[in-house]
Amino acid sequence: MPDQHSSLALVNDETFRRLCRARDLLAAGYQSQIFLDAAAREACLSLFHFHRLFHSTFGETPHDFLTRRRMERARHLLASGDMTVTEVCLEVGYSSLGSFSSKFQSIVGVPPTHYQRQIRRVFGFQKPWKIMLVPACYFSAFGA
Amino acid sequence: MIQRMSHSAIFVLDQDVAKDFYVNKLGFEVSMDQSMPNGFRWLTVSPKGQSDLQIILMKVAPSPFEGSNVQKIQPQDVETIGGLMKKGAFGAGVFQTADCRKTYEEMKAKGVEFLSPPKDQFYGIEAVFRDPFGNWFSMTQPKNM
Repeated sequence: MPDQHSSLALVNDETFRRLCRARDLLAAGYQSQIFLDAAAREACLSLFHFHRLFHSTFGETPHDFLTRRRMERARHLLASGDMTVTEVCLEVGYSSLGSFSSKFQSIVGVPPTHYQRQIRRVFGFQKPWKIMLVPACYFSAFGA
Repeated sequence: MIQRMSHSAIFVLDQDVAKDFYVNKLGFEVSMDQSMPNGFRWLTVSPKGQSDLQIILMKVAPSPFEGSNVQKIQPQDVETIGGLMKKGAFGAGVFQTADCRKTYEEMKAKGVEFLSPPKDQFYGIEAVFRDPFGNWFSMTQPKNM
């Protein structure tokens, strides 16, 4: 089978495992002020090497990964309807509402308050409920 | 303009068996596992190092809709497709590994069935394995060329 050119580096198995553990730690710690050096320690790497290897393995920096996870979590919390924007901001580990809102907007495209209003209008404010992120084409082809 | 592929589908006959295989034996992560009230289950997984590609583990199922020009999948088609899968008609893709021989041993220990052990090729070291339904994959440790 022909070789496919890969844009991301392959690290050895043990390093990959360590990077995955460090990434899991970052993913679990989005609520608290988890420091990147704790994740680097989990990977048994210096902060510099951790940053470089994480980026070359996963395609994004540890900081970007952490931010992305926090914003995904924020979207789910805003959509579930129980919390205010301020509460969500604190829950995902931001102490400043201003930086949370501007980061949210730069990633999601709209400010958090706007997003919450939009979601509630589309899905209705009722609980329990889930956002069904299922492409309609698959659902209509294989669902009922 | 199409910029990238975000989802790719692997057709399976049982999503619980598929989830156990791809997550517990291949080490993939679940991205989404949502069941709709009508029973349709949206199950996607990703390799740990590639969370921006979602692999849909799609159940082969009859399609109940009427009233269209396109022929729909009938229950007997599901059997036919299952039979073809078992015969190895579907090679769903190539996976990359940093260490083919080591990963081969680990996967074998977990009960993964290989059609071919690691072999030196001009492009790297390649083994071939199959999932519980017959979908087969190349697992290649690429050579720097």
